[in-house]
Amino acid sequence: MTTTATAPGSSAAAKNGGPGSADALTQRAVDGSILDKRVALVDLVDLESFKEVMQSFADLYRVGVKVFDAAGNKLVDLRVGNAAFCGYLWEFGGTRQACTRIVTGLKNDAFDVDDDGVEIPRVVDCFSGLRYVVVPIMYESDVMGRMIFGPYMPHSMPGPSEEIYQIESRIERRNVDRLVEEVRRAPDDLVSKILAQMQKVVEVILHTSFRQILTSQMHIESVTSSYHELQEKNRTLHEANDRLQELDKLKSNFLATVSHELRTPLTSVIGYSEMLLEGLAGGMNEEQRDYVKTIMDKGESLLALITQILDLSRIESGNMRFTMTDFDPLPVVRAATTSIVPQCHKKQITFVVEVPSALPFLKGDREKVGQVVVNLLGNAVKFTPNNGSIKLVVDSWSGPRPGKHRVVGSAGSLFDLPDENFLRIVVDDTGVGIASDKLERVFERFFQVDNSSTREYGGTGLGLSIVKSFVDAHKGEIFVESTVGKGSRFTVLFPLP
Amino acid sequence: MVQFNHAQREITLKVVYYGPALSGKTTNLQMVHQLLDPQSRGRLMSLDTADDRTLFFDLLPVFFKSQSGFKVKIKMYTVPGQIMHQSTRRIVLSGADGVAFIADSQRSEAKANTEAWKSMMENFKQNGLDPEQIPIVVQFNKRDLPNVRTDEEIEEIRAQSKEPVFPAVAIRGDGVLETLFALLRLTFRSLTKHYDFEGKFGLSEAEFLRAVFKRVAPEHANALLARIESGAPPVVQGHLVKGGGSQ
Repeated sequence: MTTTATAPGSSAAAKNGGPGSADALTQRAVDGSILDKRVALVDLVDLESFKEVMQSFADLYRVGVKVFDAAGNKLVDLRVGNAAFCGYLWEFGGTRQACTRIVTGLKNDAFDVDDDGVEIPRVVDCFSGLRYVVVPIMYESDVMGRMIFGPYMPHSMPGPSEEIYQIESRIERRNVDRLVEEVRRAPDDLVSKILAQMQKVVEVILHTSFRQILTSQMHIESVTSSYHELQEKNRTLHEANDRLQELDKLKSNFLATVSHELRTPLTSVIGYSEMLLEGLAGGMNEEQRDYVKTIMDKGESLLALITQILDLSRIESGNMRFTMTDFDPLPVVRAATTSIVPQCHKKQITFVVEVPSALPFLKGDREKVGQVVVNLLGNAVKFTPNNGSIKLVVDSWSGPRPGKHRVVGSAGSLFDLPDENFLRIVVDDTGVGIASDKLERVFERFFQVDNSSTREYGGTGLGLSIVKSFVDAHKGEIFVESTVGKGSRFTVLFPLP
Repeated sequence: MVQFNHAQREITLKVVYYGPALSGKTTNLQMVHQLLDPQSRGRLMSLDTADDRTLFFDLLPVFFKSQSGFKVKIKMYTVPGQIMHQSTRRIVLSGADGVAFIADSQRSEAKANTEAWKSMMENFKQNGLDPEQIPIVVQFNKRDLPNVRTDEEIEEIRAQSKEPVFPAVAIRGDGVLETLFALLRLTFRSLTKHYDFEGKFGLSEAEFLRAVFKRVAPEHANALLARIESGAPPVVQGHLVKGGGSQ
């Protein structure tokens, strides 16, 4: 029985040797590293090449060679010179039996050991007078197999042994004498030198190939181990990401609820202010009217802000409803431009509008498309200094959809880009501009190019994010080009039906 | 993880030389290879890169047959020190019965030593081993270099740590066998507590150590063997022991 025990945790299991524990331990040994495994001779040698080496050896010294692994499997069997002689003895019952005994012993008998417990070669004399030498194939003190050299006729023997005729009287002496001539005669000291050399060669072969096996196996094990480690890390990251997304959703829901709850009392504030202004509660002097007007104005900007937040959280939680109809975008664009004119006057901004007299019908949510234009224009006004200029161009445009899939310098991604028809809305401003590294981020929620507490421009950082959500919902495109200090250009493409 | 093969009457132990990059783990093993009798050790196998940095490990097998007829194999490994070989270190360290931690005495390497020690503890845990249960010896190598921690500092560390601590100049062979001796002794003691080597396999600590060290350079062996006989502590305190390798 072979048990593999881990120290010290499973010592009890190893001692008890119960079937369950033994299985578990064996399994662990099987699954373990190459470092804990025993390798067999066949794993270490390339059999064909090994045979070739042995063949050249047998040819050179004219001696037969057999190689067995530790389990008794025959790997090499080369006969030189003795075939006819041994074949003749094999024809007779007595000598056949004796021969079988010798051969079995060569293959199976244990080696003797020296004082240090190291296995040493065995010399086996055949009843015929021929001799074999069995050499252990050792690796790191393990017997990996055995090489059997012979038979040869030792110089010390004058000729075939008389024992042949004692075992089998039918054997003819002249045949034996004739056939034994083909068997190699060799002095024992030469044989032992040959074997010592051969043992060295085999040891180097084994060492080299064991090194190769360890190298390749360790490589695989290391890579596998690193892979599992990365997988584990990925899993953790994935879980963390899931959790964050969940939290993000919760936050959106919270915002939606809170915004809604804020709107209700705010509407009352605005409503009552309006009633006061209209004199429903009696007349007011100029100063009172001014105060109430301020309350109403501020209330309205607060309401707009809350509406934005509510919009965004609705979009995110998937609760935003889009009413898709075919409509003429021209009045929508006109209404948007009109709404922005007072703000432009205030900052003395030149507002240029280039809109053709007719535009193709658009399929979409009229209100949301209007909001896109208003938000883009509002954004332009906000970041354009006094006496600057803003330009709005609306037209229909055909061309390939500019999207993320377009990789600069990769022709393959441009092969199949069909032209599409769009309603194009371009807003230019002469504002502060956006640095190139921040361009991609301006559509992110709450992102502000200037994020400092002392920032010059107010706002929630939701405007462009809402615009993008609306454009996305229409399967449109939005992108921005900008030069810091000179201005920005926002382009929106709404696909035409 | 010590392995017992009852059918082949065989016991296999594994000890590992761990430590930061370039602290001298391979040098230790090379010196052990040089100092031990070729009869009781195999070839030193190095799986290294073209610039001699250990890629996977070095392996030096040491073996002997006990009087009770058990074949005892001690497989001595080093791990690659560079950070990137983390998974290889863990695989090689897996199932270690004892560890020699080779620290670099240079002041500049103090942090690398600490990192390597931490990673070793982490690897033990990941391999399901309790670091408290693993026999560890520590070697402060490169005592001959300038800008190293002083003998007093090493002595202070030795006095405070539960692991035996050895000064060494591995490249000259100084301290190499002392470290190995202490490592094998601690490992044997730890294992025999669980597996009763003497009772079950007829293998005593003295025989175990003598078998490994019996044919090292004589002037060195005598001192070591005397210590085996007397059971004296293997630690040579406070000063270096000259190794046989440079003689």
